[in-house]
Amino acid sequence: MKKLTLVIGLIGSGLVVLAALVSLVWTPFDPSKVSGIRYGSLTWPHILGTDALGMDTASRLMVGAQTTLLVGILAVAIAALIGVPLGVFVGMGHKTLGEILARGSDILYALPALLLAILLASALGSSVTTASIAIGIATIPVFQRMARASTLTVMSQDYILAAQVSGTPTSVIALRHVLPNIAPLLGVQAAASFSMAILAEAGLAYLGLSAPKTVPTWGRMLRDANFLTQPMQAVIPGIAIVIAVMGFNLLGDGVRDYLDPRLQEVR
Amino acid sequence: MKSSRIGVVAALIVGMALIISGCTTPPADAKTLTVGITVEPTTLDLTTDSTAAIPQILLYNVYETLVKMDSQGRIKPLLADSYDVSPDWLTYTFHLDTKAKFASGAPVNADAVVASINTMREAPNQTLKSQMAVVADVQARDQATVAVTLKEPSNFWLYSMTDTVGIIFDPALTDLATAPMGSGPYAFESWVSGDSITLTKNESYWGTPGRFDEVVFRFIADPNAMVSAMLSGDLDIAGEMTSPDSLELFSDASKYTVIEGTTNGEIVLGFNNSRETLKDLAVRQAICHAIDRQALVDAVWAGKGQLIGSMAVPTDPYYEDLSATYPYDPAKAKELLEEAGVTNLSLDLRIPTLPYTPGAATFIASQLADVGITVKVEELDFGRWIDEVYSNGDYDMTIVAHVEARDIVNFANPDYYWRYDNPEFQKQLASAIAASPDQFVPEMKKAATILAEDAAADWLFVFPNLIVTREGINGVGENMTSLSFDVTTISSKD
Amino acid sequence: MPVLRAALRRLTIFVGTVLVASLVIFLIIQALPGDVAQVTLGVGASPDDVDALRQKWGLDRPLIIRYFEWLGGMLHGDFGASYLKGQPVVSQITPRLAVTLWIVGLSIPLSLLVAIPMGLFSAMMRRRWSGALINALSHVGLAMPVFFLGVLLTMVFAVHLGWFPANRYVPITKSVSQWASRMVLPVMTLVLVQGCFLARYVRAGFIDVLGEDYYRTARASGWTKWRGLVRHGMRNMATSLVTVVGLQISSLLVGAVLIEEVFVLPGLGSLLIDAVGSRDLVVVQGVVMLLVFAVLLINFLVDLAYLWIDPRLRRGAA
Repeated sequence: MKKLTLVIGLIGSGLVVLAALVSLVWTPFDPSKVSGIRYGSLTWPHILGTDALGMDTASRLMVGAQTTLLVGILAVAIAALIGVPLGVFVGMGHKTLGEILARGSDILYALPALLLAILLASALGSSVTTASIAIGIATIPVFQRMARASTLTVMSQDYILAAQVSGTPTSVIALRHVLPNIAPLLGVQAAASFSMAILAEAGLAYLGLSAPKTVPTWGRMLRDANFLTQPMQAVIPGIAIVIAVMGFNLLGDGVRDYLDPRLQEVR
Repeated sequence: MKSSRIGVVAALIVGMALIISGCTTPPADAKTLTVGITVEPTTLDLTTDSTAAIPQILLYNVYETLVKMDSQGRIKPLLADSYDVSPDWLTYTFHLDTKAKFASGAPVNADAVVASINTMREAPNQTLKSQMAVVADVQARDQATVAVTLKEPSNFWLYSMTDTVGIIFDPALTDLATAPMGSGPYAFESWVSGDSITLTKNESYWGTPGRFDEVVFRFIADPNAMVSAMLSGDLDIAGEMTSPDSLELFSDASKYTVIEGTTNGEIVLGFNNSRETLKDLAVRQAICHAIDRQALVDAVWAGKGQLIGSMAVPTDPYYEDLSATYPYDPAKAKELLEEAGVTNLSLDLRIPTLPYTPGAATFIASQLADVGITVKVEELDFGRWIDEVYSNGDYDMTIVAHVEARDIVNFANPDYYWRYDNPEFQKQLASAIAASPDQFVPEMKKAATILAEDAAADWLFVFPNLIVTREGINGVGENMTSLSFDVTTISSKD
Repeated sequence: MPVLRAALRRLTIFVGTVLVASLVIFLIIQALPGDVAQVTLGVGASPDDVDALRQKWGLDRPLIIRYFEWLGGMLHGDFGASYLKGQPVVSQITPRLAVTLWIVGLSIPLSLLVAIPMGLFSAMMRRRWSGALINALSHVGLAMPVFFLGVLLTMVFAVHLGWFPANRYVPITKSVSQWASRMVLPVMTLVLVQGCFLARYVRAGFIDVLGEDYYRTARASGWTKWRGLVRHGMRNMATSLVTVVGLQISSLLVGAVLIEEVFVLPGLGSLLIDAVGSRDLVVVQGVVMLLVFAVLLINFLVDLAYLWIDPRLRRGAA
């Protein structure tokens, strides 16, 4: 069963990555070219049909995979690059700084992510980047808390005490001992946050707080679809989102089980 | 453990509520008309806020005007049962209907009319203020007669008095923002923020009373939600269909009536005429040649919506079809660009997020790419659009519907966001407005033609009036000639 | 009294955090381009009129003065008045909050009701197809965009079957039956997604128990698999589940906005979106401050509770 999780995860996320990579060099049609064929049926050459403007759905889906990956990478990178150092710092016992950071993280955590997205979109224009940044910022506390908690566990180990006694600089302890030890957990968190970011972006797209229509994204395709007259044009990007989110979720779970079966089966 | 106990309790509550819901039938007392519209106003103070949603709900239904526009674009008496115009076309004398009274019981007298007109002359809402700019003086001759003197003859003024600017307020009205008071067949009842505005029947209405005890305007922004509310029987009228593709779902004539008319809304691809590249007529012509407007309407608005070609709509008396001025011809467009020596043209298309804009922008970006113009589309929330595009002119092209009647005047204002400064047009429009009434139409046609030939903008199409009513609802106007969603003529069989 | 001193210290920190939060909120919200006067006057406004309206609403005064006015007002429960409607912000928030609280308040217990059996079953049967299937289902549910599910449910239950109204909220005080029938679809949507989310925690919690010594002891002493799991697993899982649910409440309150959009419900999230759209910043500030204050207050109270429970913390360690 554990292997199955990993395999399904690999297939799901692999499909997304593959679609994104192929779309860099080839798509069946120009994804932003309008044609006279509105709501073309799901037949050759438009195998997934066309949308209201006559743009090829399959091509847009493939290019949309790029955006999907971009959202995940950007959001997780922001959250991890800011959250993890802060968490490790606090976890290693910087008292005053730690207290201030903890309170800052509290405020950030209490600020609804949606608000950040609305504000960023209103201030800088709604785009995939602003949506990803908002999701990333909102995810900082998750990484910060995770890193802090696991750092605390690591810090109580004997070899850390030994290093401290022998006068090893704090920064060296952080890089040599703490980070490598908490890395697997953070990796699992990253995979989970990756899929959550994809889902969050779809939600923001539905509210009009992400990519403009000219940029093919799955969330946007779903939002613009007419569910009642052309259900397939909604179902196709919907399924794509489910596959991607599930893929990365299961990938994270699978890798974690593979690395350390003792770890809890929860993110 | 504890939390699951809470869960059980909650489930029981919901279960009970469901059982109750199965047992009770809705009371068949009040006769209610429920209309779905897309935009919720942020305030009802129309002297300040120019949102079209305010007159959409209140004009004619709650607030009345001296004269009214019917669905065919003709001026009809309302609070004034007649009016005279002086031979020099400067003085309009309105004879008020002596029966007319406000919902509060106070009579609609000359003082109220004078006060309202003066309020509009000083209104922060620039549209209203500029429509009243031509007024020199307002006098109450007696309790039922009001004389308005203009600074110069205007073919526009009386016409504008049929719309928002002509509203006569109840003098007792103190809170324009949340408690409007007028003389219409319905009175403002309540506003549930985020949900609806409810009007109730004005029992003491001075004319033909409203046919419903209650009219509810529901705010449903999402097109899918509007369609499902209509399909599931929650609405009597879907007042604005912002997903025209869905009209096919209402083809069963025994259950629904689909109304397709026109509005005053020109969907304009606006150019920033102060930009170096766009100052060049050849570039503007090339853009117009590069866009297949019929295909655009077909793709973006399911083919509903007429092509116009200038800033006039089919219900304007001076309308003529100028849509063939720059027909779709990509080869010609390329040629024009080449002759003008323009290469690698890149334009920012910055649009407010409205139901029709993203599709139109995507379509235009694709077609302009075919003639070698790169278009960068950016979607802005309305607040930012107003700030950056509208106020500061920070854009190359934009798309928005101009819903006010006779808004061709905006092209005569060089400070308007199009930054269009054409003395020839300004002169022509001024003389058309001040022309003798028999010369009005031909002079206006000339003005509209100047705009079209100068490619001052690209007029994509007229926003259609797409309405679905359930079976049994009658009297919905076909064309939206004012900003009002007029429910005063609507009745139902059951 | 070390406890009192520690509590006082927490209180100081709490108050300080709230003050800093209010300043942060105020500043980031004021930084939005476009202002309420401009948006209100809209297409056709002249700069003079915009200035006049700004003056009328007091927007021409320095930021710092407006901040302290706002802060001072909040100290006695006055969140200011909406520029556009002139009504107090509090009276605008209250009905919206009620809608959101109903949705969230109903869906949390109901999603636990879905999650616990689902998690228990898939943990118990995890080596069989039935368990794997339930587990897979929870993964699909988790990966489903909530608005997608909402629209699908509307299509099936409101449009095709006609069992429930498609959208709109009716207050319970107006009609209980209308309220209930209109709550079904939005709550069902949220429950399905949340249930799948929580089911994974439940499953993990139970699987954990299966490996514990006390469970093996219980099994050895003749308890059935199910009885042992339910008795011990529940207790083991409840704490972590409560924590997860607690952490989710703030995000749910605003996260319900997607549900509000799909089902056209006048909740807090849509108020936030509308108010930002019209740049009625007093309202935006009010909503955000309320949410932030609520979350910080919960944190503070939890801190205090720990202080009573765990004497080691009384010395003032973070």
